[in-house]
Amino acid sequence: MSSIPNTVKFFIQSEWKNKFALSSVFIHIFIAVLITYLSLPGIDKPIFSSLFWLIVIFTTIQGISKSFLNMHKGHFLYWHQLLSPVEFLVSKLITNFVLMLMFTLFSIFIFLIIHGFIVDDVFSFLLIAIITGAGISSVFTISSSIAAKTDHPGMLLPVLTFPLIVPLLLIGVKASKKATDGLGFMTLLPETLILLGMNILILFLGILLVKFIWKE
Amino acid sequence: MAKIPYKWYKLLAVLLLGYTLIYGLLIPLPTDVGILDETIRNLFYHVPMWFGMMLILMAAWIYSILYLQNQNPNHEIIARSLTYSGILMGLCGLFTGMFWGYNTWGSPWTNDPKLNGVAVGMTMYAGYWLIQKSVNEGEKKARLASVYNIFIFPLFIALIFVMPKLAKFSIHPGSGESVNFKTYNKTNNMEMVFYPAIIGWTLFFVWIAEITARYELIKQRKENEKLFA
Repeated sequence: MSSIPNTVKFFIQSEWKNKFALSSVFIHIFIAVLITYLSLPGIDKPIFSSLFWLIVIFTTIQGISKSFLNMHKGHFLYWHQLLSPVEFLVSKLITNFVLMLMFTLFSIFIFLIIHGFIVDDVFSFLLIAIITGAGISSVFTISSSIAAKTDHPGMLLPVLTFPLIVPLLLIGVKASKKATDGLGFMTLLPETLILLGMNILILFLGILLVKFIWKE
Repeated sequence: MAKIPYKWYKLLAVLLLGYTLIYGLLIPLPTDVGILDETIRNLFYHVPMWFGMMLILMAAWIYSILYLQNQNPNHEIIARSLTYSGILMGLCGLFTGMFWGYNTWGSPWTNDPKLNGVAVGMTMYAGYWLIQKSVNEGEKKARLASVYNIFIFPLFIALIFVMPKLAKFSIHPGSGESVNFKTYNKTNNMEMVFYPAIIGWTLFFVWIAEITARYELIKQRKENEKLFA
């Protein structure tokens, strides 16, 4: 377990080296938000949070899952010698959480600049975005590690991933709608707790199952 | 005549389903069901599908866990057959529901949390089928599919329990504030058919799964014989 911080550091450094991959996700987010603005200029609050999450999941899936999809069989074997599967998965989960945090915050920033400042309770909105983003990034990580092992990872990834994030996404959309209306943090408490519980469930399942995904 | 394995439960399934199909159409209904009218008989053909689907998918989940624990290929075959049978049951439930909805609501699909939840759930299980079809190596395929199955079942349960709770209203009978079959069923005579129907349909789809599993086992044995001949 002591090797996790160093591995996370290594992963983040290698993301930083691939600047074109990172910046292409940011540009992807920007152009997607711009398209929503051009096609739906006068956006109202209920549509805002649905649109926000749609853009976030469709733009970040590539950025989060590419790390697994680009791994060749040799890479897997190399990491297998250095780390246990659980250590590798936890490092990946942390790295992807950091990436997801950056992407989500950037999307909120771009959304609020382009569509105007229509979120009433920014603090709650950010909190919900971070918790839902954590869940989404862990589902992306685990299901892309499964998809990477199949024979057609690129085709299978969206089919294996999107249905799985629906439960998380529905609660996230509902909670961020409440935050957009500024109903106060106490009204968001049940959703926050459900989201945290589901995150724990997903992490638990992922850590339990990773050694079976990894076996060669 | 060839020997039929586990004859008792198949006999039970045939008896219960015959009883459900015949007596389910003959049973006198409560008279005050309003718009539901005679379509309330769908209780015997649609609702048991969902109960049975949950039971069968749960059994498939348990067999997937067993496979990962002791690497017995037969457990994977059973899990796969049960999952396919569960998907078939879900589709049957969806189609009976859509047929009922077309006659009662006027459209086969409405924006109802139960319908949408099941649609997403069936897409999750479509991913399971895709994994089975897209991996060539036998052992790896079995492993990945089992892992995916173990991963999606809790999320599926979370989905179909969370989704109706989140919705403000549902026009589906038996959820939220809408009419419930129980409220109309004061004489309890419908339960005489309902509970046997659940058991009968579940056993029937277990039977389908058993046939698929036995077919797969025979196919595997033949392949092995060819390999080592």
